[in-house]
Amino acid sequence: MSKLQLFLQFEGHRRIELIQLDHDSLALELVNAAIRLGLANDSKDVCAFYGDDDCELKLDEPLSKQGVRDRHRVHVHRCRKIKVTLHFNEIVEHMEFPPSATIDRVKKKFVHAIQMKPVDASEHVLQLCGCSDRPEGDTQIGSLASHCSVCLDLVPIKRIEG
Amino acid sequence: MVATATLPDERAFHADIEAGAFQLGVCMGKWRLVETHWPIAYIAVAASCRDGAPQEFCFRFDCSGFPSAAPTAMLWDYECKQALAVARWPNGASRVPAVFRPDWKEGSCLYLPCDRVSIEGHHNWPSEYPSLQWSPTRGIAMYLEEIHSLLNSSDYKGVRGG
Repeated sequence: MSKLQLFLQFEGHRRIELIQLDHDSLALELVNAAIRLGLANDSKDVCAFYGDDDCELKLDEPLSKQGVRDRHRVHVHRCRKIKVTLHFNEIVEHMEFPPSATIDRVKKKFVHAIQMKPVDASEHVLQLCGCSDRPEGDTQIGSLASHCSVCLDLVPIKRIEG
Repeated sequence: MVATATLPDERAFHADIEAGAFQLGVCMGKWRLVETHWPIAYIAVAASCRDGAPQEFCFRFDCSGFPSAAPTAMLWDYECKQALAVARWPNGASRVPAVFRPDWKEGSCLYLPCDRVSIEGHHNWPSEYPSLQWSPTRGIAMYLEEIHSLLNSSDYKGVRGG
């Protein structure tokens, strides 16, 4: 039987896990994999997503029949939407994304909203509010969200000196 | 035939490059493992298209003591099996030449806080660049993400002799 290798992140879990499932596995197996890797197994109403968009999977249907292919990205979370608060200087924006949206996607939408030039945007990164943690661009925001929200600052990238 | 890793740091490195973060980068075309000859790993990192510049740069990583010890990396001419000629080094407006410095340790390492050799003596770097400190849990992908980010930024202008 053919296998699917999938990149999995889930609620509160930054590490990108590479999991292997049977080609005809139900999407529910993603939830079980996340539980084995540390997702609280008392989680109710857990959702699974794939890709970088709003594609929510039906847990009782096979992955292969829902467009999930080998080496796709998947995400497991209790929230269907993550409320993202974004700051840049005095500007504050509130946006919503599926948990599977990446930091790159969030940044792209934010810099567009504040009309920052692309050349300037490439010299800024998103950082978690109140700390120096700068998640990589391909981090899915659900892995950063406690409950259903996350707060991010757009900050300049400093030249290495000293 | 794949050689069997026998040393603890070698085993840890191979586990790291088989894990999700590194493999996602491979899947996204950000980097690829060229060869390992322990404790050396040759990894090519993709760069944005610039006139006269290559599509990727090869780096020679010394991963001794991985992952408790950070790796150290230098630009490498894989075909000629020697350090890359300075004329073929990446260049840029500000952040790129600050990292790819032929005048720093004779070009034997990148001027990055996550580099094992460069961090020595830079007591201010952990507080000034906390997100760029080496992290065993983030693994080699964190070093590669930083290189990839530089080589795909608006700051990157091609090669020195281009």
